[in-house]
Amino acid sequence: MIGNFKNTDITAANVFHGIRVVLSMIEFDIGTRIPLESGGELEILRTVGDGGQGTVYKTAYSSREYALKWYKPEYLKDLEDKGILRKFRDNISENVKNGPPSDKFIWPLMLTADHEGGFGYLMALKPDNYQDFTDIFNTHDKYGKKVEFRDLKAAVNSALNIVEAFKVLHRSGYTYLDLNDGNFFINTQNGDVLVCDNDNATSQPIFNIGKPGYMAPELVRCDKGVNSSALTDYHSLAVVLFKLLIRHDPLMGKNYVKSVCISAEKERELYGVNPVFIFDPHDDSNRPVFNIHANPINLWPLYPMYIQSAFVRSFSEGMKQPGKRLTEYEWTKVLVKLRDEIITCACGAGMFLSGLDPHELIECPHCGHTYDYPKHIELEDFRISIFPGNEILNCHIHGGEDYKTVAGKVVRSRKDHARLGIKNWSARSWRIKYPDGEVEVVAPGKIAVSQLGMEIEFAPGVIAQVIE
Amino acid sequence: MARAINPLEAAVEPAKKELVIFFIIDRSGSMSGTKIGAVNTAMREVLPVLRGIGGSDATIKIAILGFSTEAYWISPPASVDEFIWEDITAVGWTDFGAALNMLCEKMSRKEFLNSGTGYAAPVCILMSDGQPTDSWIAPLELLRQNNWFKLATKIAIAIGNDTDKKVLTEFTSNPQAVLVSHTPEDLKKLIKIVTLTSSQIGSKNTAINVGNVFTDRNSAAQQFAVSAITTSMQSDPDLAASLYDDEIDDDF
Repeated sequence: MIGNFKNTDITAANVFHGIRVVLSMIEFDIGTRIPLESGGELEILRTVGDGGQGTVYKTAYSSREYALKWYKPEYLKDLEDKGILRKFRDNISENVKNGPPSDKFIWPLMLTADHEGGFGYLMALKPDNYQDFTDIFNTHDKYGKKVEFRDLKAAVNSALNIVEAFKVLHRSGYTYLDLNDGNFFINTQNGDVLVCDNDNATSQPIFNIGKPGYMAPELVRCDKGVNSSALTDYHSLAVVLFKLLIRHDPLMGKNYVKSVCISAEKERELYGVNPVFIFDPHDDSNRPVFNIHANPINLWPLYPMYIQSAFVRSFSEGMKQPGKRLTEYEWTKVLVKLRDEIITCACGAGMFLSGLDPHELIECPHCGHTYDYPKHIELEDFRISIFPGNEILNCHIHGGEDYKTVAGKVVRSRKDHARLGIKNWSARSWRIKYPDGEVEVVAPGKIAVSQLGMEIEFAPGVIAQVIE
Repeated sequence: MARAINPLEAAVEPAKKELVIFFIIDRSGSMSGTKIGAVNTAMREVLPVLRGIGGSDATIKIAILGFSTEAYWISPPASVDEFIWEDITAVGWTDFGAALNMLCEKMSRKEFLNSGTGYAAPVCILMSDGQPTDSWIAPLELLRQNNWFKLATKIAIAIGNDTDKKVLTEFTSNPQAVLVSHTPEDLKKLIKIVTLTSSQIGSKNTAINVGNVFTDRNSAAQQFAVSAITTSMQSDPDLAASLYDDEIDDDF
């Protein structure tokens, strides 16, 4: 028998958000004490959530609060039947020992001892100001409350932060089994991302588990010799980004709709044997269907060509040739480019410049305020809009992936609102050359007044130009 | 003047496949009292829990077919997000055949299953305590020809020892998919376990593949659901007993 549970009806612990719910049919009593492998006991405080693999509880251990993921008996039985339960547990133990790759991972901290045939692990609790990716995708939580990003910049930041999390994980030697939308918590105010369910992070893939919609087709097909790897994760990463930006499944088009009943056999066909990207430029057999797939039809054309091309490469060429899938470095670059295009109106609304006529005034769709089409800083293949709040980042200047360190910021003059400048946030002086030939040095903390045609040397040999 | 755009503001709730859970509930006279009371309580409590289970994968809909003297749809498929359970009463005969005919008629692309977004294989949960009082063999034969029914996960809950389990086994085509409850408490627990487990499995096809052996849960969805349900039941001493002992006295 697995688990000394109580079959509860409604307990006070399960009453929240004003709605009485029974979260799990089989759950621990409040106050149940479970021994930890390393000694000591945790105490169950309340049920937090329920997923496919386990139930999550809020618990107390050593005067602090933690989340406990307790595996469902049927999940453990499934692993046991396949002969991989021991390895699965050892993997978590190894992760506990090695510690998290960064503070963005809600990492296993301690394993419980075996308790009535079951077990689980302790991790940090999800902070209250983070939302489930699933709710962002659905546009609402399970109680119908709207969930959305504060602005466009927060949305693009979250995409960058998801890419960053993958990068950190891979560079620490892990791949992620069963990657899906349930693995991310996102702060919708600023786009900060936390990765959860890191019992699925492994340096030695012992089995492949996942939802076909997120798995690389070679894993769905079970190709001989193929295991989870950075290359298969790149497919999952592109799916997560597509779902975040386009709010749709990249392979859900005409073929899906035609299938009517999506049995596992059909899913294997759609996601493994014959996967066709809905916007594949050379194969229009699986296009989104009018009146059914509103999001891809409406949202896809609103993104700039380089974003579309990135998805096309990942899902068209990359479908058959895993090596063609975009790496984290490539995703970072295109997403930074996308962020550079965002302008944020004084009312707080964020918008893309993409596709607008540079000769026309720009109107904020929210407050109706109008702006001149901004000038740009052209630096290598980046074009950063000179619009208050926009940032010049380390990756703009030095290449690489550091999109977090701000080197400069566009500011508006307090005295003359029409005058914009670029404030030096870096530790290095910039050398400015104005169109009339005048040269000026802008020390850290100082502002260079933006002028069409001026050149800014951000670092030796890294010269940007202000263009239309 | 050009209006700037924020693509995400144009985003609506994404298209998702639908998972319809058909509850086929015996509301004949013998169900009155504690049995139908337990059904009402369990349904009222379990339906809110289904909210959110579909996640980003599926929209879960509930359809309720009641049968007594004749059969009728208490509710056509409706989103679980808005579903409010209204207590049902029990009176009359056990016209099981009439229910099978209705189920067969409505499990069709032209009827209840007409969404363009695609469907997960449906789930059919039958609850009964008795023996059919009408002709049911021919309707079941017809239903078995229905392609949706062929793919469906079919689970039956026998309410008490007097139930004709052979009939329920004919419905599920699998004796292990017939679960017996002996007390109102067991019945409530079973309804919840069966509903939650089958909807979780039905909405998310998570495959665990070891080596290059492909195991998918849906092609054997019913077997997988039965296995998960019985593992769950083993965690509860009362339910575990009813799995292994056919001679337990009823307490309805």
